[in-house]
Amino acid sequence: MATTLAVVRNRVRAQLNELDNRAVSTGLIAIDNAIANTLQVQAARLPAPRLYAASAFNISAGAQTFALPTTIGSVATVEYAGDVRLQLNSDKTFMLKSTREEIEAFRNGDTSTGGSKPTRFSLHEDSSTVVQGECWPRSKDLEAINLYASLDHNDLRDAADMDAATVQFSRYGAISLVLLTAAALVRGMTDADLVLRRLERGVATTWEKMAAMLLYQEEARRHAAEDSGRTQRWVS
Amino acid sequence: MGLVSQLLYSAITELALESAQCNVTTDPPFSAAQLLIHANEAYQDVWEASGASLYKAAGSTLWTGGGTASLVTDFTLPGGTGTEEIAEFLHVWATTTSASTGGGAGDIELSPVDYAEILALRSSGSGLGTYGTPKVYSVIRRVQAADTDTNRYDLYWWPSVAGYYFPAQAVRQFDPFDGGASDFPDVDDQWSRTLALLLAFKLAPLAGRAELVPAIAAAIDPRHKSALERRNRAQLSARQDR
Repeated sequence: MATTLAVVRNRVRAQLNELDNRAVSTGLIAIDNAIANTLQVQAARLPAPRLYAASAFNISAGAQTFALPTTIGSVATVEYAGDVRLQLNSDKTFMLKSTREEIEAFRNGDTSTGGSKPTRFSLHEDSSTVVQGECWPRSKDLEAINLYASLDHNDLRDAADMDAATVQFSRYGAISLVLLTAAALVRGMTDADLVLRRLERGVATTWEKMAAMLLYQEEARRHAAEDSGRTQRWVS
Repeated sequence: MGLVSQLLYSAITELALESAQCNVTTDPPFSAAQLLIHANEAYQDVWEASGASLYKAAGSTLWTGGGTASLVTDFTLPGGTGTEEIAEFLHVWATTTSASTGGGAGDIELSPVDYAEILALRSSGSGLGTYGTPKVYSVIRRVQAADTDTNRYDLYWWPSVAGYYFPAQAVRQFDPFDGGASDFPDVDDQWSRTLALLLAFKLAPLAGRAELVPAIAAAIDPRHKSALERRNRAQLSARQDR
């Protein structure tokens, strides 16, 4: 049930009584920017969405290093959230995640250029946020890798068309995003801005509480999906 | 009198001359040209007080260079007389429909912003996202370096996406009578009668009948009051009170 930025923007404008283009003071660009920022703030509290991509990348024949793809499907700016599992497409075995030191311990003193199917891997992120990997043993043949990964939420501003940018939230999350964005914008308004919209600053607190409730439910929903319905309890 | 509720130019001048007791054909106190001058003075006063009327224009006719959907440069509102004389832009859209006058299905209403914001977005807009359609606009009056620049406006929009017309809805500048008998003022019935009385108010002293002025003024007052009340009622119900 992911929605689009255009939908969230329209709702924020309605929430701010700013549908009238003659009575705009925040402005469309600023609203979109605020939505994109708020989305990242809220996403930081939520389990990262997960992805499966068959044959997402290859480990070259004879290689002992690889890089996770930075483009998956239509997403050109992938950033990994940490939970990465790799499966050899050839025999469907999962590689074991190891520390870099373990990989180096296996490789220590090994000068062979041969290899077999890689069974272990370690990951690290380089300075350009590309996730680099090392495997053991060295891959004998070219291996296509099925990728299971958790991804950080996209930055909406990286989309090819902002209006069509996808907000990866359910309806709970989307409404929460609307309310928290609107609340943040209201808190930055002058008294004149508020009069123009017939709003009172205190309403931001109400919206923030509503947003927190909805975000909690979004969080519970995602955890429940992963944990086979484990009971969640509201702790304030 | 005209056959429409709103008085035509001939009816306005006739009522005014009658009210000033100088509606004569022999040795008339005012030539047609003089009458036109005074009528337009009175018309402008009433027109300003009566409030705005909405003028709608398609982008393909409104802007020079706006007749095709392939230009990405800034458009210029042509100068000269007639429909291009805009006092204030109220709404501007981006549309792929050349005949649209705004507000149609698929038309994208743009948000008005300061010209400075357009410039800032153009030079420092990276990182703020990529849009597939225009989003904001600014209309500024061009400096009058030549007579041909009269009433010219430049339209700027962001982002600079090709393939759009820019229809607008606006308040026009005052468009005076041309003196034709069937010319009509851009006001409603009440204001057109106020206009006739106001014209009589101006003509009477010039025709040596200053003693009629108090009586004409007394007639203007309730007419003006009722016209204002009607306007206020319309504005309140149409949520224009902010």
